[in-house]
Amino acid sequence: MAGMVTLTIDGREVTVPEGTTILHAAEALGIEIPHLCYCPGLEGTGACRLCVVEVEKVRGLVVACMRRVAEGMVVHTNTPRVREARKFVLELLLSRHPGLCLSCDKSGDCKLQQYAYELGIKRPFFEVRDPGYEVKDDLFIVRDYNLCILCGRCIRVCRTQGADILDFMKRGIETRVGTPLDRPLLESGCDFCGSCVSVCPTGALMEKARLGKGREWELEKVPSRCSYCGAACELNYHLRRGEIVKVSSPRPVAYLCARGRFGYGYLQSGERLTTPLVRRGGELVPVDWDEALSLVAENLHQARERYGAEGVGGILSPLVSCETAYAFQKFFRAGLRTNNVDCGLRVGAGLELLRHADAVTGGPEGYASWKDVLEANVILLVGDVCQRVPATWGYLKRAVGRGAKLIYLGFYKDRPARLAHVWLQALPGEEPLVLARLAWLILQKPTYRTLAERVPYFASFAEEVERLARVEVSVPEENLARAAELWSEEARGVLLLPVDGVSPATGKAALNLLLLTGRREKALFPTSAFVNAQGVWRLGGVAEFFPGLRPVSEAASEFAAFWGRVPNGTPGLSLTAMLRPGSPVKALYLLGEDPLGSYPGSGSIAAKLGELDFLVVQDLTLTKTAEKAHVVLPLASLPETGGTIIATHGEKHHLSSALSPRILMPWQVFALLAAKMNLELNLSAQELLLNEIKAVTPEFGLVPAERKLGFWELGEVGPGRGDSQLKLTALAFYPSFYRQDWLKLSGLEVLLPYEGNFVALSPEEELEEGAVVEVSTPYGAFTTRVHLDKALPRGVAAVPAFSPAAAALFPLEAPWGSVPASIARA
Amino acid sequence: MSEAVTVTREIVAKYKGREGVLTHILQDIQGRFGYLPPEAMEVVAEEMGVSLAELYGMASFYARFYFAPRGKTVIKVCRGTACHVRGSERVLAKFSEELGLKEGETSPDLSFTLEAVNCVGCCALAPVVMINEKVFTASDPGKLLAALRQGENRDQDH
Repeated sequence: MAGMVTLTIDGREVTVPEGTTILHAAEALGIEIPHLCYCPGLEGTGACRLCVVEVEKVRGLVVACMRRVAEGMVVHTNTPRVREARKFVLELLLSRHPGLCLSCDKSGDCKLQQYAYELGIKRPFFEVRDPGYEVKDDLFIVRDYNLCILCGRCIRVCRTQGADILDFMKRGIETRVGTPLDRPLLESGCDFCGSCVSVCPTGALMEKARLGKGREWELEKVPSRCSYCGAACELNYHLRRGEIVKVSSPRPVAYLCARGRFGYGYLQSGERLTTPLVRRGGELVPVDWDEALSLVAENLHQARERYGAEGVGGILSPLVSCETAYAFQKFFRAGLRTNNVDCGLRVGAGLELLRHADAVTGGPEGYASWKDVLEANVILLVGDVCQRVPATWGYLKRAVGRGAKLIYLGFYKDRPARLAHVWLQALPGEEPLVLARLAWLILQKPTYRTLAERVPYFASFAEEVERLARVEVSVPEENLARAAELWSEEARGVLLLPVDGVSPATGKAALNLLLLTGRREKALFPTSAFVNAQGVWRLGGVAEFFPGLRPVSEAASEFAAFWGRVPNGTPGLSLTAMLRPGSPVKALYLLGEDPLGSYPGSGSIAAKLGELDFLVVQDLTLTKTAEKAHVVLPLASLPETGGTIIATHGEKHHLSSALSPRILMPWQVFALLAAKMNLELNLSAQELLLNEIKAVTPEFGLVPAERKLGFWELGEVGPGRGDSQLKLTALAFYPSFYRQDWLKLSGLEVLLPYEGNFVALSPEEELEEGAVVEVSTPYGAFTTRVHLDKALPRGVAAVPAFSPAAAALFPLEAPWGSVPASIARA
Repeated sequence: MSEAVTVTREIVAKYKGREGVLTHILQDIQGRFGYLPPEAMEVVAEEMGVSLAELYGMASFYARFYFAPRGKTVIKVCRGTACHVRGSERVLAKFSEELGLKEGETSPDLSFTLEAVNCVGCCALAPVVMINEKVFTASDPGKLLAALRQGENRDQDH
């Protein structure tokens, strides 16, 4: 067979592709060759020499992680000569490893310990010398380079998917791993993804919070998924006596961001609510569940009776499981017979763009996977995806390493800008213009023009593109031409789009580029900040659809059959409509949502909440919104409830319950409420809900969508270059997240300047670092500190997405564009 | 913009586009400032497309790149075998005491740097010290220092 090589390892024949290393070929036979510096998922360097093997007709021993296989090669992996050499290598390493396995936290998970045991090293042959390095007590990570064996895995993984801040420093016996000038990790630009800890074979790099919390074999490992964003990365919780002591990735090089790896503190924070609270005489006081739920049932019932279906509403979080979401919407639609049920995905363009995404791809089946990203020839990255969904960075870097061309559209000069082949530095608000310009450039090519002309309504599209392409933008002409060339000429293209983090026009203009180049299948990778955005909206979590994306106006009778009660056939109010002052909603139930803390337009939301007769908030902690509620109910988190989630790129996962909640599960709460209202809704168990979802929508809502025939019209966009007004934009700064309170309770706010309370400006503006200023927009004003950021262009100010500043300064209807702003010293 | 940044940009511009020039660039910067200022390193990393970590990794490999400003007078005490036999340990201790500096340190006013080196190749003169680029026999460190300080005062008089 061409390109294949057959060799013999330990007497067994194996055929592998040309270029495979001996180590990998052995793996294919299930033979494990000991290795320290080689790490699955990283390039080998052949530093440690532990993986030496004997190859017949080759004089010296051969390094298995580096040597490529050859036809007819005969390899022996476990001869006395090999074992002797390995033992010697290990002896040398141990001579500089003053570790005490007796008390080392790594014990039981340490490669050095494992191989010393396997090779039968009873006592070290050489005297053990202690290098005497100072132990570096960094944020989240403790670095004890006395235990380091200089395998270089941390350096390579930091280069591959991290911030690239480590290297070997000095030389010879003085060599050690370090940051530039030996600065602490935080000052060195570390992202705290913890990949270095994950790959370290010894106890040199350890999670700080894990130290002293038990030996490896005492920890219970529960596989789960991260609930911090729509990527839903795979992770393991390691628990001791029911408490999370560390989080690990399932494979050494699998990426987890700082939030996933170190951000679990909120789950077991003392701030968690454990008992319901009700308002008495202006104060929230603890009561038992029965009393609180009676009050909720009574008030919801009264509001429904008095104000009708429009008078009650529920808003749920896109961070809950499918089962929880399904139960909540069923309680409202079937129980209270109102379709006023909506979720946080509505804020911004998230919902609209996910629907458009389906109209391009024909449904989630047609989305691109991580594999498609890795194998792409050209990648178009729009906006601050890498801050919102940090896992994308690792994949992007690998894809570019494999030859993909990256086009990055964004104003912020951070890592994607450096990695990109073409950086389209559009100022905030110019993005749709730049994308339209690319479309125009591509349309100049006869082949694309001919293809596009066949698309319905082409004329109006061509006209719009023509008009928008004439608006001057700040991106240099040659960059635009280069990007248009790459996007139209390279074979496999993937668009990485943060659906909840761009303006609708930007999203639509980007999708138009997919349509224009005939890329419908496996070419769109949607991302969002919400772990279960897809699950929640597909299973009835938005006003206009019953579960399975069945339109409310058409499917009432269909659902009457499932639910045994005829639901209301009138579409409900969206979240934005419900929260608008003067809306008909009088009793509101918020499940895991904190509009005052995380939605833009907090001023008008506060006014609306003041109009309510009754507000019930169910959340993990006493949020800003909960402080205003009449009843507050504790909520079990996703790692506690477990259940089904659908990552934004369409992968469905079933999670087991990783932590035992000390409170009622959310569906139990809805079941008790239903019972108090004499409603039979069958909400009492997760399995019941799961089975019901399967009956209602066997595809779990991941249904094929009708494909859009023409292009999207962008409407009014602009203003383009030449507008001298300061533009304010909400930008996800690492490690931002939808629920800032979770980051704070987990101690992650230290990764941001001024703990996230700042407005970022270019150093070219006439203000100094730390200056206290008032930022004003047409929607509100906010006093905060100036943080000078070299990555920002002049004329652009940015506040962290999801921050109180963003909440005050942007409107609920359009949070992800730019707004004109002024800044003055306070 | 600091001088280090401006000068470094000029230096980098001279070499840009060529392979294997990093050490030359660093040498030029050190020639200009006596050490490698952090702002200069950032410019080199950015302009040459290497990470700051890699640049420091490469620079710290060489014993003669310095990362902090050095004194006007650099005293290198030889710790080679011959000098050791002739009491270089005491010589180093004496300098250390007189200058109030530990090995590798520079005085805050940037007048002196005290270093230990391995062998300067004049074993016949052991114990040897190098003061800036000149070699001396350091049988009496106190006297050498006194002479040095006098010389310094004389320089200032003129």
